[in-house]
Amino acid sequence: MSDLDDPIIAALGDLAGQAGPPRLRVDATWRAGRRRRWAAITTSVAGAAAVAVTIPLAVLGGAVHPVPVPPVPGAVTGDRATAYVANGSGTVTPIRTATSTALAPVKAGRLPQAIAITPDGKTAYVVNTHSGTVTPIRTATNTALPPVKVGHGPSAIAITPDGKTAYVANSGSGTVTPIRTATNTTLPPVKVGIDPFAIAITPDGKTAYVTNTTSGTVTPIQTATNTALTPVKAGPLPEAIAITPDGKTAYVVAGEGHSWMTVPISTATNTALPPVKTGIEPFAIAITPDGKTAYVVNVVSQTVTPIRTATNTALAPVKVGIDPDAIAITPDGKTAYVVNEYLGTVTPIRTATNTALAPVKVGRFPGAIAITPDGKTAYVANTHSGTVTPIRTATNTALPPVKTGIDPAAIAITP
Amino acid sequence: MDERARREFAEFVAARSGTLIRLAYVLAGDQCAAEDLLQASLTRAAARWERIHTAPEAYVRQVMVREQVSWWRRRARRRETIMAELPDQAAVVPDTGADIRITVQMALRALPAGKRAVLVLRYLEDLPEAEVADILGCSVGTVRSQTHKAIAQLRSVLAAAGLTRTEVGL
Repeated sequence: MSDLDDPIIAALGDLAGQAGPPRLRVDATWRAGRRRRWAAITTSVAGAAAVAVTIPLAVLGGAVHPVPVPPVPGAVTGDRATAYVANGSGTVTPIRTATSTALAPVKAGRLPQAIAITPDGKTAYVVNTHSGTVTPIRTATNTALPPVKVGHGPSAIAITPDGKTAYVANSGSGTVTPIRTATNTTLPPVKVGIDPFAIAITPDGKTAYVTNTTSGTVTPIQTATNTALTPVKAGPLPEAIAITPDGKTAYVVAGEGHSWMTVPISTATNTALPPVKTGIEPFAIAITPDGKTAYVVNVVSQTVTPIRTATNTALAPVKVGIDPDAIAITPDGKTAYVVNEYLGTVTPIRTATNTALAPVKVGRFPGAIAITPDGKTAYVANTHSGTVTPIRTATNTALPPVKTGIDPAAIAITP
Repeated sequence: MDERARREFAEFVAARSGTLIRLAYVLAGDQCAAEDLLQASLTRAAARWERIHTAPEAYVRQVMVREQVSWWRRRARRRETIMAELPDQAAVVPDTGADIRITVQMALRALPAGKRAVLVLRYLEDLPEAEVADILGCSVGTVRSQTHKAIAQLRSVLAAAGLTRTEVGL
């Protein structure tokens, strides 16, 4: 390998040589600020960072873990039930859940990162971050309709329970674009905070909550009028959000440095309640269908913190694997599945006792998970393998992986 | 931390930061992120100085690499958001030695989590494979395969930029 060494060493040496003298302030009061810094860096250093960043991403945000919606008449059911997997490479792979077989990929825009399906199951909306568009896909035929132009850098989507409006958070514009699903036309964008990251809608469909990561706020949007209400302060760097099935509380994970938390927001008054302390770097959240427990996934602590919603108290954290980054709960509420990105495993947690079961091996760097409405199968997207692993929930065994596109990043399943 | 440890630590920071920032820079990709990375790692070193004071530099290097690898992963995991328009990249047509080096640097920066760390440790830090495996918490076989893949990836990036193997020695 010695003939390979010289140019690499030279280039590495060049790179190293560009470092200036460090400006350090090493003392006990210093707090990690890398997360915030990085967000700015990725955009200010256009060249190198732009290349480095277009990797895959994650699951959530968006419809994060939507409250299960009861099937509506005419919904896609039975053999036609389909999981839609958005691939970072610009396609969507439909997978028939009855047989776990992949259909021909559907072309989307550049860097799809989020996907949501209307409650009637007829249309899947794919958010193309780099194109600034949303591609509607007719699920009956798996054909893409013309892309809908939204704001800059759209990154999350949620659809109202009546299926009439899709709300798309535009991270680059600081806005939310409502899309009328009947006509696939946009309404005027609603101004929110800086770097909107995730969006969730109350079960009554009256309010959409948007986390503004850089502003450190959550903006409620009245869906009847599409007007933004006064933003609610919610910790530094709020990211994922989930709303209880009764619609009374929105839970937002937030924090930086040495202070990590989940902030409950009362939807009646739009005020933040006292934050609940979680592990280090909470990243994902899901709430049981009975609304009694919110599960917060802590990436660095390698734990899941159950929060009793009645009292907003944290229970003892449950140890999972290395770098957990996504969670989904079965419709019967009995099992929470936590994806361990680094290990390529999924840890089932029995919610009755909050005990972790033996991890299930999936592919490399899994990032997104979704469970079929009948609760029988969990689909896990393996970003580095370009596959989706179905897990039979009855036995917690992995079935053979299904091939998708490159960098499968988000999954949604028809109701 | 007692007075002696405090003094030792201050001396260590004063003496070695200029070298450590080079590794931090290659890992993190720019000065701000490099300083954050080094600062965070030194802060951790200070907290456990009693246990690591006999070999603090190895410890700080290891913390920086692990921290950065997990940072890349986290960054990749967090959905990308955009705060300003990024221009499409113009094709690079290098014709001088300096341009080639810049292209190689760009390719290095574009390597994903893990792979850049492997190259940095193997070639810049000149560590044996076993030590790289130890720092990254993986097997020697993984270090080898990651090195191999990283070089293959560099090669394809450079080929796409119009550089031939002989020009860059790959």
